[in-house]
Amino acid sequence: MKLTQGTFSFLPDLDDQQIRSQVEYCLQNGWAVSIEYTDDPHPRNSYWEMFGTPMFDIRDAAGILTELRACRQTFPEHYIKLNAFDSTHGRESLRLSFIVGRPAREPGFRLERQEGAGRAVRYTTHSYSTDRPEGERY
Amino acid sequence: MPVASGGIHAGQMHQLLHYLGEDVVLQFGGGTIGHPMGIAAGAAANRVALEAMVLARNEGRDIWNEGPDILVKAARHCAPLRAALDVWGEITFNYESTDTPDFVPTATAAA
Amino acid sequence: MNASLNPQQGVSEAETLDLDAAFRDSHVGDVLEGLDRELVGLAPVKSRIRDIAALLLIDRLRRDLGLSAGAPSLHMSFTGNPGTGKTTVALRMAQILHRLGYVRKGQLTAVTRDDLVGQYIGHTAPKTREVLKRAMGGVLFIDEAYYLYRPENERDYGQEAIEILLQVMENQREDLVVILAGYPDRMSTFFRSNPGMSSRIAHHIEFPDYTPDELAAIARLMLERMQYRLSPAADVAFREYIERRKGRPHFANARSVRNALDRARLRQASRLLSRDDRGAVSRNDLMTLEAADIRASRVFSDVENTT
Repeated sequence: MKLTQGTFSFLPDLDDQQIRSQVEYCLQNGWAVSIEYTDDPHPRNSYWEMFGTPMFDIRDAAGILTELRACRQTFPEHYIKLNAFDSTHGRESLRLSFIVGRPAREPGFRLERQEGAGRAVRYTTHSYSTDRPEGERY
Repeated sequence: MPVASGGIHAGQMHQLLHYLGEDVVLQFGGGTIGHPMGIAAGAAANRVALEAMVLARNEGRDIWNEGPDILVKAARHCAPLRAALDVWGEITFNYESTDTPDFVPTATAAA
Repeated sequence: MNASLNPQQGVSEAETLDLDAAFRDSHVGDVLEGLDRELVGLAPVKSRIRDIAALLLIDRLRRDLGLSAGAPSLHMSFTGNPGTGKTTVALRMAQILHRLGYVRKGQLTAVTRDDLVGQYIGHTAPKTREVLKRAMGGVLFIDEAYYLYRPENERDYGQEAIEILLQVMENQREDLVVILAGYPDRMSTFFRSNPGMSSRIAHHIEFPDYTPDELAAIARLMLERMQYRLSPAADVAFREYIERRKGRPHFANARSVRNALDRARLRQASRLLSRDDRGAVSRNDLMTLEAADIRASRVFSDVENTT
């Protein structure tokens, strides 16, 4: 079940050339690109781990792709995404965030129901991968 | 923030992105619910169309002119989008304004 | 049906291309002219840049015809005595290569050994890789590159930095151009002990010492920029100064010229302040360096020079 978080997640996985074009677009706009990874795909997990530091002073996509290659080598079975941060006054937020790496098998989510007082049901999603401890999920 | 709503559909995504940019609320009502494959398929079609268009725009392509090609190419990987383009692809907003008079003045007793 | 016309290429074997037109359309001419105008001397450098520019043009035409030979290796090594323009040319090389279309972004990242080598184990690789990341798309200029290699100190991590550089210089030629610079004898020792580095450098460019005429021309350019001028007598005196200074130890070519001019400005200032008619100093007076300002130098008064 392909994780559909972030931009371009409904399209087929981007190849390196497409990723490079997107990174060039971000750099042309002066956004700082950073790489994050995680093995907990829950949609409410907004705190992925950052790989290295946000790359504020990179001029060319080649530098960022080198970093991405290193991240893929270190974490071949984690979700990896690229973020582009726009620091202009009044915005100071992410402009683009898309997944660039996925584990080979994505087991997906199940719906959990919690019955409360008066049979009121509360729903959450639960990721099958988090049944296993960190490091053994994928 | 601009909001677009009212008869917009996935086949116009290049025009919507061109005119309104990316800081916009796009409300596809009929364009989602009226999808032949169901509402979920309608949502997926709209999302795929939007993502494909943003991808192309970021790469520097001319989405105004190449928009229809981009959509057709994206539809190859997405059956809902293909269906949406088949059903609504021909619909544009080029029609006579509703303000145009739809009668011919005829002579009356008063004139 | 013309069998020799390949629809992919559009130009058959027999057709001719107009190189003059292509030269005019590119900006190669402007770049070369700017170089000639703003840098004095440096004949081997300019000739090599001219060759690289010509290759770029031909490469482009070949690519238009569907012939491709891959990115040429542009890594360079600049050797020469102090003050011969190595850093100045490196700064311009990034601009030039960018205008010629060889590097994508054209920024210059100037580093020395300390920016690449770490202080403890495991420190060097991330440090070097960070620098390389920033430099990609432009030119990496490593000044005094021989300090990277310190075989006498076994706790030195320079070798690691060299290895990472070698890998990037070989595998990411289209992303980065590396320029090493330093004094000739030390650079040749460095290359002898690191044949891998030497073989990856396509262009070994020497920066010869400037001739007295060239030094005088450099002085003239510097003075123009500083908005000073030499009086005719001062001009003669300065030529003499250059001839004498050249033979003395620690001569640093253009840098020595600049220092000499700065000292002359000092003396001019003192001279103006100790004039009798201080109340009537003209603009000309403020701009002109007189022979006395030059001849006060030790170079003229020391009859014998001792090392």
